[in-house]
Amino acid sequence: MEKIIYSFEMQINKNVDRNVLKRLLSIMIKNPDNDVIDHLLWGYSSFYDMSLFQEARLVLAAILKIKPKLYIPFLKELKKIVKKTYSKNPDVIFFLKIIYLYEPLWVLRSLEKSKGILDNKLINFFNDIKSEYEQYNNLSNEIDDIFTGLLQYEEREYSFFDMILF
Amino acid sequence: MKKSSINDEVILYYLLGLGKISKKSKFYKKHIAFIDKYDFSYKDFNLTGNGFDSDELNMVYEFLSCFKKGKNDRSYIVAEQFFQKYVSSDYRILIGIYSLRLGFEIDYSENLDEEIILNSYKLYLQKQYSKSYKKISEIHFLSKYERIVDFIMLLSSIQLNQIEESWSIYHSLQKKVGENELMNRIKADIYYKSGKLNKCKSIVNKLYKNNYRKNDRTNFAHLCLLQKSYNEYYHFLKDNIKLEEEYFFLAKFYHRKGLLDKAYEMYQKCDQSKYPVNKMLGLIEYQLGNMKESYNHFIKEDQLRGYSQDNDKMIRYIKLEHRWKK
Repeated sequence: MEKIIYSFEMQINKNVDRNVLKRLLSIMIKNPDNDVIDHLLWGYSSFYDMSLFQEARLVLAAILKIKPKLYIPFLKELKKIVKKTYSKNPDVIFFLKIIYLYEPLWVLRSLEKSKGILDNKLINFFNDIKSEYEQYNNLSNEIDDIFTGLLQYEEREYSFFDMILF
Repeated sequence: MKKSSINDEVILYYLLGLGKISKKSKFYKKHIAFIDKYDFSYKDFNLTGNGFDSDELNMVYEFLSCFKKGKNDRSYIVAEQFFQKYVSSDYRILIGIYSLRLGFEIDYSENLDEEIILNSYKLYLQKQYSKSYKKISEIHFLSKYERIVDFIMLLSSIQLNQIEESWSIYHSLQKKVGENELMNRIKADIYYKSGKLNKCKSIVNKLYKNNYRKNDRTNFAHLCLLQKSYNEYYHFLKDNIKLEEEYFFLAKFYHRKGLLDKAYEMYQKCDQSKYPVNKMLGLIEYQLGNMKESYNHFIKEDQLRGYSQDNDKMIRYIKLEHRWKK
């Protein structure tokens, strides 16, 4: 894997060959350890910085094929990409969706701050998670009522009378 | 041979708990034999030649036996036959009252007294207390069955919170009836409605001790809770649980006090399909921070006892909390 990663670095630092890049990515996603993920995120950022958007998209496609759970140690890196590319990157939503799984509040706040520059896709995403958050907060108050209510001793409609059969 | 109407009336009141009867009478001995010896089995009672002299009364006892044993289909047939056969019998009121409790639709429009009494009682059972009161008032002081009229009027006026009137009817009825279980129950109801819980509780406690009926135990326990006499409630139930419902009450008691382990143990003793056991266990697990277990209990509650709004909220909340509370 070290050789593959080295070749991947070469693709970024020197002239890129898309066919080679595709082959390297297909091998990397089969062994998605921390080193691989770290390089994929770095690769995405680098291609993006160099305005090699097609190559960046190839890396993004590889990133999305890896289980989101494996990105937990890389949330900081993901956030950096989001912050850096917010206004101009149409793919930022994919990164936001991964972060949303683990830090939804950060995503909500971040989208809220950038509300003015969001495209339609991001606005819809923002509205969805905002309504989910509101639902969570509303339910949170209702849950308190459930606890109070269920543990209260119900006032019964008493009647000690019953037609007695002997 | 048909008995005289006065005797029928006395027996009718006695059977309704609204009158006394001489313990030396032939009727009383047979009645006691029916209850004690034949355990309400009219068939056994009749086969041994112990039946009453009157066919009419035999039919009444057959009906009461079926009623007591929960044989509702047979009760209905006997009631129908009785109403067809004995168009002017005093016992029609008795059979009518018990039939209404079972929800039978029987034509009881043979005479005005009967129609008003039974319609009023029907309205009472339907919790239309005001209408029931109005209806029975039509024949107040006019009916042959004065005690039954007073009795239904009393029941309705208690539910309408007409406390003064209730006491007035109660005292007048008690003069005729004397003290018995039925009158004591009514007295407890009046005390309850007038907010005199101590007096009510004292009667219910006596009722429970003298004639074991399961509702009296639970009513007593609930009255303790209403009075916030938690220690009394706890000691009453703690070492003496007899009914499943009481496990549930005690579990809720522990739960409310924050004794979650004990509450958990008590909830587990209750029938999960009869009581919201899983809902309560779900709440306990939630309080302990065991979200997965809590979620599973709420799902189980949903499967066993069907949809409930609270349950649905808890399920949605736990799912959302898992995501948002980070």
